[in-house]
Amino acid sequence: METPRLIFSTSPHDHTKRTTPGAMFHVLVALLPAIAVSLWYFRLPALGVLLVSVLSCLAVEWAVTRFMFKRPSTLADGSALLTGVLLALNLPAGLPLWMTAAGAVIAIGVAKLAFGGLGCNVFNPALVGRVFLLISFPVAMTTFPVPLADGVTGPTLLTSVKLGTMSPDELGMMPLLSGDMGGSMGEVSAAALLLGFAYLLCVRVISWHIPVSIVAGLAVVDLIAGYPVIPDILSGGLLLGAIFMATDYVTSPMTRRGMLLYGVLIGMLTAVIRRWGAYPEGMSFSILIMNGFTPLINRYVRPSRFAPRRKEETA
Amino acid sequence: MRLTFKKGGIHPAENKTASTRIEMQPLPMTVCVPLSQHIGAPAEPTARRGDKVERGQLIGRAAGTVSANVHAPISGTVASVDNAVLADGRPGRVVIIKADEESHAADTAAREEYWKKVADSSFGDTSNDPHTPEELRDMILGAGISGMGGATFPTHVKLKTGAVKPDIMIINGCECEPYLMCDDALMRNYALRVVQGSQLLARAAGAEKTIIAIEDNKPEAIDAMRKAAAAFDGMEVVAVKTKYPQGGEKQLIAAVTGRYVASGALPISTGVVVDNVATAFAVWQAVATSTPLIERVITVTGDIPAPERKNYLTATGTPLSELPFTLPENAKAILGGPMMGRCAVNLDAPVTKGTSGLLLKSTGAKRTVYPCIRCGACVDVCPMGLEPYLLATYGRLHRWDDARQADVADCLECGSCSYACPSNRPILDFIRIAKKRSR
Ligand code: SF4
Ligand code: SF4
Repeated sequence: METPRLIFSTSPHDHTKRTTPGAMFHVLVALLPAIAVSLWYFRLPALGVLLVSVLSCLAVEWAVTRFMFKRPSTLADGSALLTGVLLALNLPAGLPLWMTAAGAVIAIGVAKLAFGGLGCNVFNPALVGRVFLLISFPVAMTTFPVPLADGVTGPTLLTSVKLGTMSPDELGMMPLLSGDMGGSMGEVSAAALLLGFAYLLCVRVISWHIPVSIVAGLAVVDLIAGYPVIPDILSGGLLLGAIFMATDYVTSPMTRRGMLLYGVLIGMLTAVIRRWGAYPEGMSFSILIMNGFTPLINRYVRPSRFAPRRKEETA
Repeated sequence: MRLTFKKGGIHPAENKTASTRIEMQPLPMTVCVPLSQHIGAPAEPTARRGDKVERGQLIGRAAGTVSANVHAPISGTVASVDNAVLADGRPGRVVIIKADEESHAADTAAREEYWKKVADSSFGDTSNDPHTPEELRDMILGAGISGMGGATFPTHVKLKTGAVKPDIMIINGCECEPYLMCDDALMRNYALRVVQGSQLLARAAGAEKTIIAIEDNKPEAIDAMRKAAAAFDGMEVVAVKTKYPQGGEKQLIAAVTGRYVASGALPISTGVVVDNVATAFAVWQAVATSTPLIERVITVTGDIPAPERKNYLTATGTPLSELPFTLPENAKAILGGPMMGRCAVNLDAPVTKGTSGLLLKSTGAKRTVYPCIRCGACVDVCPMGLEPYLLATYGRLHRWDDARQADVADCLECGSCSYACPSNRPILDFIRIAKKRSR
């Protein structure tokens, strides 16, 4: 009798159905409401920024892995696609397309691949791309088209407040929730972002720790500074950042306690920059700063062990 | 509040679809009996080539403190005592016994007679067993009993108490590995025997209290065991949450007693001894019927037709290929469950004391490995509170000192981290290397 060939491998022999591309896919699904709202409000310019951002990110990822790393393509892991979408959502609709493409080159080429690719980068690629553009092209980056009004641009709520032309109490809740205000593509509708948050929690791709602690950190500083909390939470990319940018697996801490610390600090930093800093919005900077501290947090905020080490018995 | 351990754990698909009846697997004509079916030193062979041996006769004597006796599972002639490749691919010594028609028929008749007696509850009452704990331990040593849940640690060694006197005996009926149902079947069909064996184990360990812990996905087993245990003093059957690795010794002690075994310490340091239900059953057999451990219940299951998924009472040394099943395409033959079981290198390999199941899995397409995305899933699920991604990195980079500092020795190799990793990283493989090299 012929002995059948058996497959040999080490344990475990069972495996979760979750995959890394699957997680990326879930985040994309969660972004759909926000994408839909921004396309509805900003029409063609938004579509242009979105397409150019995504295509440039994919092209840079493909070209660098192919010609510089000489490794098999990594497009299938979905991370470059997601970075492209996130970058677009962090830009104002109507940003010149060549600037968008430049942002993508920095995001994928410098912030991600120069660090070694997926999993090795310290800073969130999409945010690095955005901040690069913000510093290089401050005017274009802060010219926000007003939703549904062709050719009209206006300041964001936070800029108006900073300039003293408007008190935050003047704007009602509805525009903040629905997105009927100035801002970058993805940040304008809090409702759409919260829908995405609910989805991510349901499919357990992220936990509540980072977004909630960011909001809490911001609220604490606001309360101390006597600033209205709700508009501050609903505007200026805070929710976009808290739900989709700060929760990036690669650049956020590994443990739940680490996540809480990271989140609270992002929230507080954001509030401080918004109130007292030079920029009207502080979310991107705060997240990037805390990205930089993530390795440190991982080093010092360890999971608690099952039980303490046995005390050395002294004979 | 359902009893469980605090940190980590996973919920893999249970797949407990085998029948809970226990069928008799016919005795084989030839057995291949490894002299090392337990952790520790292999037994010294006491039989030689050409010897006639009786079923149940000693053929290997425990060598050293941590070792176990080995007995002949069938009567016959010793064909050879030889080196062979064991089921999991490692070398070891085996005793090969060949039966003849006559001895086979006699063994089969005696076996049937024996199991009829076991099923008769008026027989074999051990509640007033006169033996002292020392005598019980000697009987357990004599019967060659080692842990039957998978770790195969010699049972008499566990019961030998040193500085710490145990006060609680936990009988582990969790069966937290997916697919496996041998303990479930045993508890449903032989609840009284398991309870009697548990009482004997507790006496041998000197523990006043006996707690039988069963995962709450086995309500019938819990019922049967509660009924059987009702008449026993100081014995309690508790349901624990269905969560892997609930049956891990440290996890179970924490769940049931709230005591935590310190890093680097033995479970006994908390005053608790844990033994498996199948081990308890074997202890009853040894004390009440003077029968050594030569057969056990094993689950045959996996990607095979549903009617073939069954539990078999199988003589140790039976080649896996004699069990009735249809081998699936691209099969892995896993000895034990999917989380901690080891792959058999071929189907000529024998069933041993520690074989709780034969899981036949058809392996699908190769899963793509992605870079670590630092998602923290492995950290979340580690029941020991370790950082598997970090330990794996240390293992990969040969940073043994760092691995030691990060408590790699605490890893119980439960596989939860590799299970949970969305990037399919072979985390546990690297941790195993780091664990070995950092000792
Ligand atoms: S195998 Fe080790 S490191 Fe991985 S989850 Fe289990 S105990 Fe933790
Ligand atoms: S589960 Fe896998 S991808 Fe996630 S942190 Fe652990 S090793 Fe990395």
